[in-house]
Amino acid sequence: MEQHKGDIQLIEDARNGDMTAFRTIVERHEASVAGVVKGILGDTPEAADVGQEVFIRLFESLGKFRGEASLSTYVTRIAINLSLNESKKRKRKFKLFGPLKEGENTSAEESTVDLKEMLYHELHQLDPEFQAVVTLRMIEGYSIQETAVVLEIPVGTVMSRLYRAQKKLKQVIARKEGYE
Amino acid sequence: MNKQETEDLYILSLDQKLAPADEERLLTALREHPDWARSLLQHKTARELLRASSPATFGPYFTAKLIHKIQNTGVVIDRQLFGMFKKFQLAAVGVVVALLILNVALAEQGSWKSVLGIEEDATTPVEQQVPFDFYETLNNL
Repeated sequence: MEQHKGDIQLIEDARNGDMTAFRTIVERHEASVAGVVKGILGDTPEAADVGQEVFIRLFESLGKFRGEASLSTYVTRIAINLSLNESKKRKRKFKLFGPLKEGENTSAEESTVDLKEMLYHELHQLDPEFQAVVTLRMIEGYSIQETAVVLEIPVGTVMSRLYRAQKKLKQVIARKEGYE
Repeated sequence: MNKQETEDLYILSLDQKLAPADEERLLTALREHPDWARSLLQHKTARELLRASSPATFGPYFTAKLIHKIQNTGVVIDRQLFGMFKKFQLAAVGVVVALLILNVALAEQGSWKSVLGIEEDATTPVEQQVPFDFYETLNNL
């Protein structure tokens, strides 16, 4: 029954204490949130924690949701912001404890590592703002317009970030294939 | 068209439809330089590999664990209206600060009491001030 209701009706029901409605909201948006969070943080234990936090924030803010953006856009924004915060925290920790020691995941090992993993590794080296654009556009398949709306940045900024990220990611393939 | 321009156009083509003239220029460049074409295909390969092939998930029981956490850790819906009026709050604070600055700028005396308007204008000492006599005033009418 709940599955057939629209997001707005489900939000209204959840506001009135109907946890089944909220459960349906979570089930409906878990895949897109997981795609965004894992795109930025990788398939790590923290990703599930951030995923939980996204929906807890959504639950807390149900009273304030006014439907100006679609629920999907709203929840994706929360997911992006929390994932970027976590990513920045990680980078600070990385700076604090220094880079990987020699021999740990170096280029010598790359030949045996799956190309897809290498691409994700490169993606996670990008600045968080670039990761967000790549995740939405290239991994989750959002259009340029949708990416701009979710991230609240101009279309031109999306395009320029994509361009720079694309060049970095291409280098991974070029290294693997041995030519540029 | 040089290699850099060709690459720029190719990357653009991955995200939006090119104008017919640009499309033609790109095709011509790729036909003339098969090695560039091979290199540019790596952009497409990167995208195809990154593209999510199956819907992502946070694993089994994610929803159940989440609902349990919400119900057992006192997470509640924030129904406060304050958040909705943040812009107005900021505007009000701005107005107060502006008025304070204006008051400071126009104050004749430099003391903080005069700025806040709490300093008495006591030109006559209090003990010399004559109290108002209501009956005398009435009799004089």
